Amino acid sequence: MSERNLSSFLNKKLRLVALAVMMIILPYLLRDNPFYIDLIIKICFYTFLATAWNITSGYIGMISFNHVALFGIGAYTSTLLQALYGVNAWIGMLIGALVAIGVGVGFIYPAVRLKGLFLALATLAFTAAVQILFLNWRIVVYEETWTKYIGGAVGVFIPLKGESLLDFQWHETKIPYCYIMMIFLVLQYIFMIRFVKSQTGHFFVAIREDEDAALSLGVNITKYKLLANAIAAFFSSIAGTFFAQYLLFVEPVYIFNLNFMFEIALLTILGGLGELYGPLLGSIIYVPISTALRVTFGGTTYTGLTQIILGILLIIIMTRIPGGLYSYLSKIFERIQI
Amino acid sequence: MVNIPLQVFVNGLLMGGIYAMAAIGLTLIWGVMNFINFASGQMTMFGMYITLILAIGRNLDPVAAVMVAMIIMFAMGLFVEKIVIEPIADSPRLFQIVVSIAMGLILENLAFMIWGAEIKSMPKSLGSMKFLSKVIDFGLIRLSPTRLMPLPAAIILTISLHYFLTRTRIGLGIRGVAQNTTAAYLMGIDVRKAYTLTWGLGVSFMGLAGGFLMLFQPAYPAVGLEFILISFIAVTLGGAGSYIGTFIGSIVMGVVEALSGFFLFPALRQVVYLSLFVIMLFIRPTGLFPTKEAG
Repeated sequence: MSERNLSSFLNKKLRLVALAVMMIILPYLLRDNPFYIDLIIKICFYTFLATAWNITSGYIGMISFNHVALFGIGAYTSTLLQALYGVNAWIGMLIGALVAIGVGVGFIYPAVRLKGLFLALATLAFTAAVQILFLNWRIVVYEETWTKYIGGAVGVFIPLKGESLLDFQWHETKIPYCYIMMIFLVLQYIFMIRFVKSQTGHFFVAIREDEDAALSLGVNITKYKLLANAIAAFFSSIAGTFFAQYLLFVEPVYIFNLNFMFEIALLTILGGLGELYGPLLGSIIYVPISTALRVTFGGTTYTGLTQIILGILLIIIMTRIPGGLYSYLSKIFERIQI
Repeated sequence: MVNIPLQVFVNGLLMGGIYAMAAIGLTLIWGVMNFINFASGQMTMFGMYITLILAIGRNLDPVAAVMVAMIIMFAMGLFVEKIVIEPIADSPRLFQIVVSIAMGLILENLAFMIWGAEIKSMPKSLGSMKFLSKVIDFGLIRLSPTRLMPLPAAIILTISLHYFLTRTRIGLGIRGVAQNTTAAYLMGIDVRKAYTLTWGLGVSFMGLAGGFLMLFQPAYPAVGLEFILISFIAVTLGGAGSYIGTFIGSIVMGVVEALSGFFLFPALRQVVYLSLFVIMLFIRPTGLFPTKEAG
């Protein structure tokens, strides 16, 4: 028994080391091909955001679509702080996270009572309203000789500085962004692995499975629902700042995009809702397929075909494998091992 | 002399008729199957385009095209229910949401591929459009018959749907399924047929809303997105599954949208009704006219 434990422990260590080595080497090998670097960044980025969505919709069972609003608030906070006051991007990221937690929890607090679909609708309305507000909200900047408007539909540019980790911007290469996103993702997964095994994680699942039963056993439902939204808001806004730094530009239609929110939801469900590795599996499958389709059909007369194929694929998977790919694959692996 | 606030109010009221048709389609499926159709806006958009191509391509009179579009949308509702909805009828709520979102994506991009992204409107020289699109002066307000038609049509539709559901055998069957699926099944009602029929009716109402809208507003593939939130809000205001409530909710939405666009900033009119919706959900999530059928 002890021997087996040891070997499985070694196996685990080996696997982790192999994964780490692969993650370090892969961007370096692909350094001459920005397309693949961008693909890796996108996979990590989607996973990061999908995990945030998974916490509220998967673990605690609050189907909500406000993450993209919090994502945008994070992006806008750090960008505006940089553009207006010259605040460092990393500090802006933390301030953005605090603002997003404040807004997210502040909105969810009165909505905690709402069940199922009504919460989904309320959060959808919230996201739509935030987008329209940002579309119409312009800031007047008085400079010495002229006044200029920033924000609104025009968006905000991040002032260009030197390429450095401190300023969180690179112009010639995308590789540092790739490593940063990977580090974010690894940190997030370390948190998630610990979180799922913790008492709070079990409370989350208990609330999802049966709210009344959890309540009768003394679980403070309101507290944990707010906590789940705070964690999701934190991750969403961090992803937002990263995205803003990656593009060096924010603009309401692109940032607060409901279709983007739906994409996140779809790929999480594709991978496995409420599964730790569901978002990862979902984006590893979804992002390359959607990118490949976009590259193939984009700009041709069949531009719309990308979304149509993705939609049909999703409906097929949802109707055939309702538990998501993760549970489906793990069932297959179990069968193979026996 | 045109009284502008009154004109805006009446325009909103009449627009409420369009919203009512789409929202009643939504509330019917919501009430009977407990399924929120996130593709409802895109179905309205499809109704618009089908009316347009029937009128232009098949030389149908525009008003007749609206009716034919409704029948085509009825068939589409049956088809969608059989192909997509039946396999996921028992899956969790979230899956149903996601499948309908995917359906909306497919429909929107299909329209984009077939008809292109440009804005298309009904030519004013086609058949009855010649006199229907003429503006009539009522003294304080001016309206064209195309704008006047949807509201009476929505009233007739609501009343006939009410009679269908309370007086006919099939309608009573659908209500039975809505109240208690298992009991209805045990009483010998074909639940599957009731679901299929509900989808056909619901989608045909969404298509009808699109058809009437096509007579005075241009169509483009993304037009559906605006409809989704408005119909959801109208349904929640009235109480899901309540037809009269949904009708009133839609009229309220039309008026609120028009007035807030006129008295506040036009760009922020959506924020006004979205905020109203969220406040409404917080205070009274069951809507103004809650029904037991909403479940």
